[in-house]
Parts: sequence; C-alpha cells; structure tokens
Amino acid sequence: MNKILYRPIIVISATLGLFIMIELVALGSITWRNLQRIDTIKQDIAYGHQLQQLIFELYQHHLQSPKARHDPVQLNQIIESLQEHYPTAQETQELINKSRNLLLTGNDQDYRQELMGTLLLAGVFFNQRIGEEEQLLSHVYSDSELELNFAIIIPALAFLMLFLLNLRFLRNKIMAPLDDLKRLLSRLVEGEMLPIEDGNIEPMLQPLFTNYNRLIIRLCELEQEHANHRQLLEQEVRNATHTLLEQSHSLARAERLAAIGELAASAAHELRNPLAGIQAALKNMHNECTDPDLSERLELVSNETKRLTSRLNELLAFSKHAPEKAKAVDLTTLLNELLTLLKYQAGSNVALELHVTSDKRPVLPESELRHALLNLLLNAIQELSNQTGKVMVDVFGTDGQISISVQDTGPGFPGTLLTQGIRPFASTHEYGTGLGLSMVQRFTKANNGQLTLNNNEEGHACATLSFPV
Amino acid sequence: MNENLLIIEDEALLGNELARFFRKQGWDAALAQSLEDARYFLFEQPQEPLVVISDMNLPDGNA
Repeated sequence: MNKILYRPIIVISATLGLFIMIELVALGSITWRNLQRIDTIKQDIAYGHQLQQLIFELYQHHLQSPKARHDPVQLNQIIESLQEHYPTAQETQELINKSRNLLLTGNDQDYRQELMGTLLLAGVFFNQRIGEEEQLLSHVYSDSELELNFAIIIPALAFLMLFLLNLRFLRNKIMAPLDDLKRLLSRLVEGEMLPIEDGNIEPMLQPLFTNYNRLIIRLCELEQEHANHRQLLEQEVRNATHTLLEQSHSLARAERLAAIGELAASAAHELRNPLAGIQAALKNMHNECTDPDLSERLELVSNETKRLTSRLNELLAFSKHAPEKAKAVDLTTLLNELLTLLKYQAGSNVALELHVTSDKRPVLPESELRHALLNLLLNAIQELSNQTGKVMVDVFGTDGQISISVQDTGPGFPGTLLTQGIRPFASTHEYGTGLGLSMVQRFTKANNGQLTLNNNEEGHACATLSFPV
Repeated sequence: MNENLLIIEDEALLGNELARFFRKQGWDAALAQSLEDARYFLFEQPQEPLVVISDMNLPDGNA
C-alpha cells in the first residue's frame, strides 16, 4: 500500500524537480548572457575612457604646443593597442588610420584640418559607441525583466496548474470511487446488494473495492443459505405437526371408543345381576309348572332372557378387548412417521437412522404394531440418556419373514434380562412401568411373530421383531 | 339326613330361586345375604354346611 501511495508523490516531485532544473538552467543562461553583456559594456566604458584620455592628451598637447611633434612611437603603441581591442568596426579602423596618418604628417595646416576631421570622427565614433552601449543596456534590462518573470510568474502558474491537476486527480481517482462506495454501503444497510463497477479506480484503492465485491457475494450466499435452511426447517416442522395431528386424531378416536366401552361394560354388568335372578326363577317355575300352556309360555320368556344375557355378554366382551383389524402394513411409511416424531423427543445428541432393504408388508393391526415399535424406540433413546449416540432401525427380509431391528449405541441389555427373559414390572428406569417389553412380546406372540433381544459384537442392545409374510 | 348348603348371594331373586332349586333337590339350603349372616351360618350354627355357593362381590366385602 505504501509503495502505491508514493507513486503520485514521486510523480509530482519529479515534475517539480524537472521544472526547477529547467528554470535554473534558463535563468542561469540568461544571467550568463547578461554578465557577458555587462562585461562588454564595462570594457567599452574602460576603453572609451582611454580614448577620451588620449584625445584629451592630444588636445592638451596641441593646445600647449601646437607645432610640436608628438612622440610617434608612443602614439603608435597606443593606437596599436586600441586596434587590438577594437578589431571590428570599419569606422574605427578609418578613424585610427586617419589618426595615425595625422600623427605622422608634418604639415601644420593639414594637421589642424585633419585634427578637426579626426575630432569629428571621434565624436561620431563616441556617439556610435554610446548608442551601442545603450542598446546593450536595454537588452540587459529586458533580459532581467525576463528573468524576473521566469522567477515569479511562471512558477506561480506552474504551481497553480499542478494544484488543479492534483485536485482533478484526487476527485476522479479517489473521491468519486469513495463516494460510490459510500453510496453502495448505505444501500447495503437498507438491504440492497450491488457489486461496485470496476471502472475508474486508482490502483491504490483497488483492493478495497475487490474486497467489497467479495463481501457482497459472500453476503448473498449467506442469505441464500439462510433462506434455504429456514425453508428446510419449516418443511420439517410441517411434516412433524402433520404426523402429530394424525396421531392425535386416532388417539382421540381410540379414547372415545374406550370411554364408550367402559360405559357399556359397567352398564352391562349392572344389568346382568337381575337377569341372573330372573333366569333362575323362570327355570324353577318351568320345572314346578304342571300346566303345559303355562310351561310353554315360561319357556318362551326364558328364551328371551337368555337372548338378553348373551347380548350383554357380547357387549362386555367387546369393551374388554376390541380386536383391531389386521391389514398389510407399509413399514417404511410407518417407521418414517415414528422417527420424524421421535426426532424432536430425542434431542440433538441422538441421531436416528432408518435402512429399509425389503418392502414386504406383514399383515398386522397397525396401531398395535405402532405401539410396539414406539416402545422399542423409546427404550433405545432412553438408554442413550444424555450421551451422543445413534439409534438404527433396519428392515430386512429373510425367507418368508420380514424383520425390524432396533439398535442403539448405548450400554446394551442387562445380563439378567437376556438370561431370564422378559418379566413384567421389571423396569430399569425410574419412571418406567416395566411393561413395555412384555407388551411387545405379547403383541408379537399374538401375531405369530417373534421378539429377539441380544447384545451385538460391540455390546450394544439390539431388539428384533420378526413376522411371517 | 339332608346335607347343609349355604348360599351367599345379595341379589334377593337369584338367592331365593337358587335356594328353592336346591331344596327341591333335597338339600337343606340356607341363604345369607351379607357377610355377617354368612359368618353366623358358618361359625355359630352347630352344623357346618357341606357346600357353600358364594357370590364373590358382596356389598360388605369379598366373600
């Protein structure tokens, strides 16, 4: 991240550095030029002074001793030195030659004329030189102005431009994506989930947006999983309540029937007693009777009472034991229903498994079979108490038989049970009635079946019901 | 000598008819309609009955 952050700083520094270098070079070259010019001017002024001095001396000389001769050698030296330093201008050469000629001639008259001419030329020469120097000075002035501009205005402009560029850079590459992100995050809070576009993003911020997109995707996935899970749960609850309702219906019916049966039984019992007396009296009367007509009538009355008695007996027998009709039972459906209900009873530490390898249907009274299986399953679940474990139900067929086995991963049947067999009222649980297994045994025997109890190789309890098919 | 027979039955009609039937057969039938009476016939009479026909559920206890 830091490396990426340095990049714009490096760019800016490099640009600034380059600019400063260029400006320094420009300023330097201008200053150097100006220095040259000033140098030239200085020299000009110096030699101008020299020339002035020479002319002044000439004047002096001339005025002091108009006819005297000068020392030509000295003057020649001076003129030669002048020629060295001013090799260029044509007028200068002329002037110098004229001066020399003048100095070397002897004629007074000519000399004065020539001197006048020379002085005039010198005047022109000086004017020229001054003009040139003024030009140079004005060049120097304008160049200095240029330098000043360079030094102040252009850097100011450059800084302004850099500032604006930075601003634009900041806005486009950083603020805009961050604004986008802010907008998307606030929408996320309200529940909308949109991935951010991969458009105009500064590489520095790329990881942030990539992570945001990943976050969105993960959130979508989680919500989907959550919704699926909730649907699954709802479905399971629906199944369980459906089974429960069906069970409660049949239970209510059974209770109603039982209540009616009890009522009938007690009524029947009450009615039987007087009937016994009546029957006995009729029998006696029939035996003691001598009138054949009366005898016959007594016999008829006796028959009616016998009818009454047998009807009452039937009623009593019905209430005591209403045999349920046996029919072909679909074991898979029955066991699935039972296990669905028991899943909520068993708790999360017990897993219930069902393996059906045969679809043979035994002919059995269904609710009694359900009751027997429930007993075995509840036993198995209770054996596991609070440990984690499994209850496995297997439905398998052998020759002419269908078997249902219930195994658990608990401590197994106690040895006494296996050796002595099932005894009523012998419960291993605090709240058990001890009648569960004996009820199952009674049921299986009543339906030509068999109940086998054993502990498997790992010592876990296994109860197997077998019925002929 | 007739043999003694004790009938313990709280239903009046049934008891009477039973006694009548057995008397016809030659038994000396006595009818007790409660446990108290039964005790009297069993323990306080000089002659014990040979056969007792008893209803199990009497109003004052199990015969």
